[in-house]
Amino acid sequence: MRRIAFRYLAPLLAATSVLAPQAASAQPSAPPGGAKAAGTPAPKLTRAPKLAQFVEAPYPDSERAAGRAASVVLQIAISAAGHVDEVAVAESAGPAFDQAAVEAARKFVFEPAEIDGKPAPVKIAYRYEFVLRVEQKTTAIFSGVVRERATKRPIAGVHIDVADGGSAITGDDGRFTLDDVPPGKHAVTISGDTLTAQQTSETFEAAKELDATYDVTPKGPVVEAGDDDDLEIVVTPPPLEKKVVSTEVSADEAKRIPGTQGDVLKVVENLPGVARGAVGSGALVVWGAAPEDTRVYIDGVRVPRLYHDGGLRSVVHSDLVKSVELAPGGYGAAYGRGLGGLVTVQTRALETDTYHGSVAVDLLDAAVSARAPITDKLRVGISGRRSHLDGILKAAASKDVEDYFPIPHYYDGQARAAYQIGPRESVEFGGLLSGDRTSRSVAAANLAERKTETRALHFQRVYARYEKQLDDGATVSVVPYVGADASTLESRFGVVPTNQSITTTLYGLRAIYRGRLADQLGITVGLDAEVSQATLRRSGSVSAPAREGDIRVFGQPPTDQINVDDWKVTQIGLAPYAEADIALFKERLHILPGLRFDPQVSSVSRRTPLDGDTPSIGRFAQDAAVDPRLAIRFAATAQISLRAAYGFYHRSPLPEDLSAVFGNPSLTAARASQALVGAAFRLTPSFSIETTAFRTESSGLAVRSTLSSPLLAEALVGMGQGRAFGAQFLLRKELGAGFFGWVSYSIVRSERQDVPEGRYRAFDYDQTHVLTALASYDLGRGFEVGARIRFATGFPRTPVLGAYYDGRRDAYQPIFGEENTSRIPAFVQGDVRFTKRWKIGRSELEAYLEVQNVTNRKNPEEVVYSSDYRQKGFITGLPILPVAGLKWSL
Amino acid sequence: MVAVSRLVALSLCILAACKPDLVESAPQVTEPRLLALRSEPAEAAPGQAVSLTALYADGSGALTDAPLDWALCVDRKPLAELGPVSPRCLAPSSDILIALGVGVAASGTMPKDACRNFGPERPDPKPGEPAGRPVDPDQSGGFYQPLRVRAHLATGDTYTVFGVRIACSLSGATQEQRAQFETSYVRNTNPSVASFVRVAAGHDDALPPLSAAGAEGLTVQAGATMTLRAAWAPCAGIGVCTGSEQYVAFDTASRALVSRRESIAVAWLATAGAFAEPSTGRSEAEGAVASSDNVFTAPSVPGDITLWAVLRDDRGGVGWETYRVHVIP
Repeated sequence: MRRIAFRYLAPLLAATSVLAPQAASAQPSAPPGGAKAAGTPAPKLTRAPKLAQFVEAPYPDSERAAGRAASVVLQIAISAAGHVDEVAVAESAGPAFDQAAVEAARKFVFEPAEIDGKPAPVKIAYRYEFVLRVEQKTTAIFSGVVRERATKRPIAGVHIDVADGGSAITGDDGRFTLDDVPPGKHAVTISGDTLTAQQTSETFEAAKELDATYDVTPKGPVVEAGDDDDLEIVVTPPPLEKKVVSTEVSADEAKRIPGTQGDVLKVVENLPGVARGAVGSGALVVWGAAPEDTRVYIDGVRVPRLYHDGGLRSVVHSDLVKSVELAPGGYGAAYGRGLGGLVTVQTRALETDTYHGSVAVDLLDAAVSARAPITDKLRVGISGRRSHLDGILKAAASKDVEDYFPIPHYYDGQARAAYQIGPRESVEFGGLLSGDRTSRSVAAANLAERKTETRALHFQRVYARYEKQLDDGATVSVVPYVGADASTLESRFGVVPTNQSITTTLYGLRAIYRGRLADQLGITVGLDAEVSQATLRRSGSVSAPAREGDIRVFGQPPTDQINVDDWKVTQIGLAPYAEADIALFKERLHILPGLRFDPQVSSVSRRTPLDGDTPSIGRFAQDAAVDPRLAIRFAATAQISLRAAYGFYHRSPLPEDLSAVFGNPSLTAARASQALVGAAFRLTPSFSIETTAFRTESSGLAVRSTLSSPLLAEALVGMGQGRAFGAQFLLRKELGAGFFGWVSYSIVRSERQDVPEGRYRAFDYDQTHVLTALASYDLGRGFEVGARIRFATGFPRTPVLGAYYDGRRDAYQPIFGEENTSRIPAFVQGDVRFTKRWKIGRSELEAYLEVQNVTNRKNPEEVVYSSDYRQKGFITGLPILPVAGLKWSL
Repeated sequence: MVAVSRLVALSLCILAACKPDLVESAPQVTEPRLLALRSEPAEAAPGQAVSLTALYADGSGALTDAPLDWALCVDRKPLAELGPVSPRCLAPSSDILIALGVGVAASGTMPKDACRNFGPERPDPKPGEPAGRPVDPDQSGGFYQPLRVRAHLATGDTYTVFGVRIACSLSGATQEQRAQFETSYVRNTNPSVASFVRVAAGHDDALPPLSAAGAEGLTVQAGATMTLRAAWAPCAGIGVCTGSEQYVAFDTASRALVSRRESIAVAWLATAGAFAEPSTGRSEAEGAVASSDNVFTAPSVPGDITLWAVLRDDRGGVGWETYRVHVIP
């Protein structure tokens, strides 16, 4: 709908008519008694009264609404002192105008008239004019329509963002209007769930309207924002995204998904390509990659984890999350140092209108958030969360319940302050922190069965983010950050202790420039720098903690051979990168080549194990990786898009693997290549299907030495190989008419080879089939219902064929079959969620009830054996469990 | 309150999952089974002769004739192997096995290169390569020569492994520390059961070991429950002792010589009846207490039964005694 904003000026007094001889005349007042003295010369007006203080009459609303103007002639009696004694209407313009004019005139103040040189009362005629005037606009009006390129059908829900000029969303007719756009050239971004974000520029003139028509090609079956699961190619000059395959889900959708307890970031577990994590692990396994190979960024700041221990909660308050995007592979050159997927969390812009906040509590934790604009340019936000499950359980169960069950203790907090430097320039300072601790112990009469374990991970980040949009529409973003991670593991299994502590100081910088070199060529250049200094100490068995690929059974004690090491690792990576977006064939074809150059420097404080008083010799190494990447997207038709990507990735060895005793200080970077092809089909504007096939290969993975007498400082060797291949599918209905949902399915085979020429075995986290179906429906009146069903193949496990007796430790030891050739039975679970929201003034109260595992199915989560390995059983996971919660939002 | 309990139970299942109730094999000896192995001396230097004894029993009690095939295994286990020995040791015969004989006892000589293969000395290098990694010590600073015992049973072969503690030098210590260790370390002695009693109010009933001359077993009623206590010699100071010995060890964390005390584990076995715990014991921190209790429930069927208390210390020492109990109606 086009709307022209007119501004009406207030009524204007036609002061020029005051005392004008032709419009008004001074009439000297008669002397008292009203008689004239005979022969007395008539008094003479020697000075006309002069209006000294004008009062503007309010323009009557009724008359302004009717568009009427008028003038009222008043007769004003002015005293000898200049005050208005009386006002009368001489020529009426209607009651509303008359009353307004009279009331205003009564407040006039005059310089008195003089008669014969002396101040004297007089009466004058005064014309009060009400003039309806249109204000001269100093801004432009921007209106237009967004249509589908092929069909010319209007597209609703498209975001039109004008840099420093506001934003609008297209209506059902595809039209939009922005009333006050500052004149000049501005970047215009067109984005939406069904679109690949695009950017152009428009020139606006004051008091003029620019009417534009944008014909765009909706994203293929892949939805980039909030839509599907993964394949999204972002293109367009300058491209806003570089991920060929990704799934982004808006916070509004994510928090309504059953099984997430309203936690936005837990939606990642439901996306295609993601294996179902082991119960309580919270680990992300994407496209068969190890959990540590999937990197997590929050607004460009790398964090060590997405979820708290147990996977119960994410580390960021949902109120601050705008969206979360998972790229399982094939992402662009802007990111690296990981062989697996990429999770990017985008936080919500702090509100400018008024203060907002929320308070939420459920069985697990309590959380609060508050955001407020301090000035027109300064906004702040803060949030925090702390678990109280331990307190509830201790109150409801025995006091020593924690001795038997690892109850997670966690907290997290975020603080942000955003300042708008100029219309296109902003800076934000923020910090986030998170902490986890789980502890348990098993007190047994049997010394070998006494167990204690305490795990903790704390991290903090402080960052700044500077963003500026240049006149040509290009954008610059700089995010420096500093942080610290501290993780500890302390355990004792029988008489075998295990201790590991890692303290890391992290410095990072991400700087990005996005612009356009030509109409069909966008470019992104940036720098991804990261410096980490880690101090590590570990003692205990080489076999604890367990690694991927270890042949073991759940609960098996580590070997009782122990050692100790402490070491320091410094790793420096400065990775400049560049990407281009070449748009061809009327932007139907986008070619996105990218190149990332990643020189790495690392130092390890000890090259060989400490031996007596022999001084330690450190190791310094430098390496450089060149990772080319290419993505292609082709819009075959308005409904079908195709995509492909190929790229190289690498990851430096983990500091904990660089121990001279427990690892290998000479490990070098692991490498991977990722290839994918996909297609997306948009059946309707809100209904899409997409599919992606992929293959990844990795090499140089750190694995345990299989030698009986490995060389000194080579407990790990970098000769592991990996490969994963498969496909994922997503059928998605975007939010519309109160309903959204998707069905995602992944079929993946992930394998590892521990020695050259050895057998490829199933990866410990391999899950052949993962199916997730979920839906949520708004019933109206604040009621909402949702359901989720999940199916996942069980993880591989190594079968136990028998046992032998260890006479020294009085324990049986398993005799294993071929590694990872059996599996835990499949996981099947259904969850439902009921929500009711009440509007209370400006606030909203939400109550929800989630029932997890509604069928109370005993899902096997792990294989366990009797102590002599003659009997086999399964640890089963979550039984039927209702979880209720409340959230009050303002 | 029921609802709260239900909620708590469910919550615990979320966090720890729900563990199945597997039937653990009771410490009941009903068929031929190797219950324990012992080396004498408990700690031997390379080249030193050792005598090896097995506690082999069935439902009738300890057996003196046993189809046990003894062998030392000289194959070092892979670093990634969680088990105590190389899987290659679990074979009837191999070039990595040094046969020691057949029966409930055997004897042999510790390999001269035991400290190089299984101890703190770096193994011989392969041509063109530096010497390999030495073996890590256990918590007590010990290294062990693998021993495997194969039992020929009608149902098939079963394997038992053991480690004979090797008297080696220290790993990772300074010369001064090594010298001090050589002078202050006392090799391990096998523990032994000093007394075995039924704890009762007022007085304890001592059970003489079956090996004692004229030993009479304890008489109990069928189905009776009693507390049994196995005790060992209290050990004061560093020296030879058949209890929880104190010894000098090299602490790899502090890289210093420290004084430590053995923990003692007691395995309880019986031909009938049931113990509350298959194993009990005293940790290093509890070392001042030289006994451990367990609750035994006599079988419901009258007859004679055999009980064993097997002591194991931290340094690979093992000792046991056999007791007879008369179960009456």
